[in-house]
Amino acid sequence: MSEITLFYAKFVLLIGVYALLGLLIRALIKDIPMPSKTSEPLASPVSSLPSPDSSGWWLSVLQGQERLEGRDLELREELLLGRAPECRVVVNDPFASARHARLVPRGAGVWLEDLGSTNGTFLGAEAVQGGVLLNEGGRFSIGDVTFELVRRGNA
Amino acid sequence: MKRRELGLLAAVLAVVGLALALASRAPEFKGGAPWGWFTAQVAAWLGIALALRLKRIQGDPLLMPLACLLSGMGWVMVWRLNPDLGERQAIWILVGLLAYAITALTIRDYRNLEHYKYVCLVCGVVLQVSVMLFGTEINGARLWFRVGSFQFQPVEVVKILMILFLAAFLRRYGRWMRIGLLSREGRLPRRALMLLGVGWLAAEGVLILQKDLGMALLFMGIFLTMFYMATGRTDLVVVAGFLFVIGAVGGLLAFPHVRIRVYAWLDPFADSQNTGYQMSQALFSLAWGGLFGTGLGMGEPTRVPEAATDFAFVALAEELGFLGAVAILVAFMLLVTRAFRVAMRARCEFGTLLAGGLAVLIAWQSLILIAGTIKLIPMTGITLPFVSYGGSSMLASFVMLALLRRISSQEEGPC
Repeated sequence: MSEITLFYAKFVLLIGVYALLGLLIRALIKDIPMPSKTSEPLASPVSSLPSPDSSGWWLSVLQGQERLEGRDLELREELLLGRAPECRVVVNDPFASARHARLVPRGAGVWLEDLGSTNGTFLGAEAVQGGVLLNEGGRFSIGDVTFELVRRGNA
Repeated sequence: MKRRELGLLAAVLAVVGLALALASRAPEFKGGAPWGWFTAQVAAWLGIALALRLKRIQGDPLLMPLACLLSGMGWVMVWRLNPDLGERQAIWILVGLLAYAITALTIRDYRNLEHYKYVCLVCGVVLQVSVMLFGTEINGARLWFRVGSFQFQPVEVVKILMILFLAAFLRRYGRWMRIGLLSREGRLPRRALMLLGVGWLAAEGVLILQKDLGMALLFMGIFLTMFYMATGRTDLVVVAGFLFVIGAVGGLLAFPHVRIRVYAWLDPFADSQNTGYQMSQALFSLAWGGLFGTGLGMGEPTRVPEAATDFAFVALAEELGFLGAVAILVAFMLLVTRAFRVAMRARCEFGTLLAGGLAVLIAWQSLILIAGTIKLIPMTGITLPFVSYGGSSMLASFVMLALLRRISSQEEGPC
């Protein structure tokens, strides 16, 4: 190879390297609109619409999960909270365990039971040990999601 | 998605081939360009990408091409500097790729690694202590095990084990450290924090006693960043940062070898034939490269001592110029960006902390080393991931890449 081709060869290489970076950045930009993969948090939102004459306990999300906020859920029977899809309330929080806690309505109150979750269910700053009976307005949190128990209707 | 990975890999390998052809003009290239080794690497990269695709292990399609670009350019430069080291580097890249394939194919679920956090901790401590006791001393620091003619630097493995441990530990206790530590409920977080703090100080102490200052700085960076990621507590990070500054000043006053490094950094030309020699040569080398470089194989980067290991970036900057050096930096930046993206999209917090820790490791390690070689901070002897010569470092980098790949491939699954 002559001196002059050698001189230009280095520019060819630099152009090649930058073309490559361009390709990689283009592939990176294509990915930028991140697909939102949040699954529907409530298993059956239709049944959760409050009907005026129903009585009993309702679960509402105070903060932490936009998709659940304002969509109260009636506690007719035992209700499972956790990250697993089979839970009635799917808590999409990194600190939630698959089967995190359960709620059982018991007339005068609601029994909250921690199902051996890794990070605990909290009443304020205190972790629930085993189970606890909550009254109206009782608040508990799983991860960064805070729930409140509300009593509605005329029961 | 996957088709893009193979296409990008092929493009990267073509550019590396061009670089190899150009570098073969160097006088150190006796007996022509090592096309055999190059072909072996091409086959390994494409074969593994294809195997992962056939096994339906999805994952970030940019990780492999970026690593291929960095390791390819690094290998061409190492071979151009010293063909013997280049041959070993080629072997190490192939071994690293094998480790990558094995890690990516055998880890069914990376979340299982969380259960082995104390195993990781104990293995790391045992490795580090045993190299202190039984290691081989090279250049006044006892950091290597020697097997035959190959040397192995256990700290490269230890850093991955530490990230695994920290990710699992902080996943468990980080949340509690977010709340007030002085309250009555702060008993458990106080204890966990104390444990973590004592462990951190001990690790830093061991690394400083081993004169592995680069690794001490790197470990500090990883620890504080991961701690911040898990807890979001700026106050404790600032406190730890102050402790590090005190430790650094103390080390400067106490250890003569630290002082030599700092003086060589402040004014390399004051003693340019002795302690400042390496730094001065590196600066001449950078200046000689200019904007477009001398062209691969046309410069004289061999003048810099340890050009293939500590100063691989300077050698690349001399022959590819400022533009080539920026390209390498951009490649590192993209790799770190992708690793952080993996962290943000991971479905569980352990994955986020693990991928984040690996991202931070790549970022800190490349920044500390590159900043050291261009006289922004005192030079510390650590390797540039994927680029500079070093078997253990290459192997560790590929294992890290495999972990990132595995975490990103599980984005879709349940957690």
